Amino acid sequence: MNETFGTFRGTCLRQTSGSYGGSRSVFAKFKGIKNNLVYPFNGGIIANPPSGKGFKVFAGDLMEYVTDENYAHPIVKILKTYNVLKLDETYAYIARTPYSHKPFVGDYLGRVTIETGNSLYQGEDFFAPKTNTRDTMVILSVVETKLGSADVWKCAVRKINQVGNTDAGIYEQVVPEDIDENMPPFVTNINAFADCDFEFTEGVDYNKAKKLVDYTLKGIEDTSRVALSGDDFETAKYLYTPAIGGAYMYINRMSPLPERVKYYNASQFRGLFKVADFNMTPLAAMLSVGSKAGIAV
Amino acid sequence: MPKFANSNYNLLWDSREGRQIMSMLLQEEGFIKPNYTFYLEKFRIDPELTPSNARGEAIFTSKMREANGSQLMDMRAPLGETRPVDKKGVQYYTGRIPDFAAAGFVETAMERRDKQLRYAQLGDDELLLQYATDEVQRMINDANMTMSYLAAKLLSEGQSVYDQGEGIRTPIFRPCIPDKNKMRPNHGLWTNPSAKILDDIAEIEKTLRDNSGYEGELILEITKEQFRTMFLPNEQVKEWVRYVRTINNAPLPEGISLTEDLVLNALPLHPYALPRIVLVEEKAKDSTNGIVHGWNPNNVVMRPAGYAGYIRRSSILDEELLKEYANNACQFNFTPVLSGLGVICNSVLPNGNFKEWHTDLFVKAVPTLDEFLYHAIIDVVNADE
Repeated sequence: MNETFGTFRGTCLRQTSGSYGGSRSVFAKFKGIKNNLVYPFNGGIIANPPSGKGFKVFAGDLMEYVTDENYAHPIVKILKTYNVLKLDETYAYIARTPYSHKPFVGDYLGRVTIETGNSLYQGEDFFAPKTNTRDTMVILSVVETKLGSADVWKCAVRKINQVGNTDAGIYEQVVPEDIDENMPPFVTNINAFADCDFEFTEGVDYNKAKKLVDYTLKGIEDTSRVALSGDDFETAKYLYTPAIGGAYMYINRMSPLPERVKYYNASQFRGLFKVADFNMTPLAAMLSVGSKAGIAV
Repeated sequence: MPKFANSNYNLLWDSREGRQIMSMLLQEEGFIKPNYTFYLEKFRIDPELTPSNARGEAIFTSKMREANGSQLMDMRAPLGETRPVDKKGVQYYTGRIPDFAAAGFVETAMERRDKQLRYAQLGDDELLLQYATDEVQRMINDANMTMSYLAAKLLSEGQSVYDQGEGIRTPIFRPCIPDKNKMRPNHGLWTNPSAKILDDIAEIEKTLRDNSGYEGELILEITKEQFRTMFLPNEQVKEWVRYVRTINNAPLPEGISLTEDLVLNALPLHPYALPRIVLVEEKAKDSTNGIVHGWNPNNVVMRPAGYAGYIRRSSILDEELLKEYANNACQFNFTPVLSGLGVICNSVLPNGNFKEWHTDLFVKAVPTLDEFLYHAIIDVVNADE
């Protein structure tokens, strides 16, 4: 016996049931030479692992592969999106299908829009267009239940940024940085995707994950570098390489897409989503993204 | 002269013959030299591969039992029953083996054409030699430096943390060295020449033996630099060396500086029967950061003589996938290197209308501490908080 595993002297009777091995074919099938399963340098440490057990990432989930300005010390961010079916004074009802991102207590959700206008790609950072977040809330409890005939997670929430009771829709995870202000989304620039389903077996507290990401980002020459404690060794660290190829994905089989993410769709086929191809020139990407955002480039 | 296509250099990337030629290159005497092998002096390569589970994690476990359970007996009257003893648990820690990669080598068709022209003039050996020294040797050095860096960090700090390179920087694991094995000297900081270093060593040895119950040979590991700055100017050490020289009728003149040899020859004669002092020399020559040491300059280590643990290693997913399911348009061959700690992957990949040649070195291994209950780390530079 130890802190995690024990034994029981008698007989423990129980059964489990469920199904395994199923998956959703999110990638559109084309014959021809594809170059979709291409991986970037080194992979990175996941910056926003879930705070509890059993979070699943599905093939086709969008991600951001971020490096410093020298294309070094990479981190990976997952775009976690939630389909909020109903909101009332204290609860948010989040759709619970076999292919939904699982919400956890302490997750911050919000609705993010890109600041449009000429500033979109002319700001300080080409890769991080300015965003506005509204309707933010933090999850206080999660219960699996039903809303009418739909399976939902009934989440008690504390609303932070003027969420009306009618503001159901697609929410995404945001960074709990300025509690009363404009919380930025985790993922600002979409350039990668998950090439297969996988599950996080252990949860990681937001602050611990943030500390470890800081550790990756700060160089050995940085004297303000975070000091490690025993906890940091015991905390799960997920190192993962997303794919960066230009796969076409069925939008209706992807995790729900917030409106602003559709601007990143480089596909010219209706119903399919494509992460801007890694072969695409910045100009082509800009035209593609710009034209969909409805702005003059 | 055979055609360039049949040259050894070109065949290094051949899916059938490449591995053989690469092995030859690695084994040929004088071609590839083993540099930065500090880790091999202190750790033994695990003969077994640590298997990866269904989740792809290669988890190793290191276990130790505290051998310190003896007690004095109870005095009893006849027929009295004995008192049952508490059973000791097993101390263990687990960790997962991380992946490392050296900066890769890429050659485009235009560069290869240049090689072909040089081949016509200078032959195969020149190309092979250049490739071996510039690329293979560099990658092997990178891997050796990385393992040595991790080994030195593990020994001197009691933790495995990777904070170098351009990739991910993160803590890896921390063996459960008991807190009481993390010590500080009682007779002054060693940076101070008046510190009683020899008294400290004797005291630390006694404390470690009392704490852990370890009876075997202990060694004190200290870097050359620490030895130079702490031992050589130390007054107690000086005094002892002078005394030993004097009673052996070879007195030292006044004012002469001590040398390593003088000290290392005199210390074993000390009546304290001090542990053997082992000078470690570990460094990595990083082309970005200059000379980098994994050994924490504040710490010295006292531990059992011999190897400190295994270098745990595991199979590399890239190799497994590419061996089975590689695209037919690509060619791959894999050559194990560094006694199985890693693999060199030579690949030919399409790039537009042309081919492109790659060489990569992947390593999936990490030094682990397997004597952690007997391992003492002494901070000799910082005063108690």
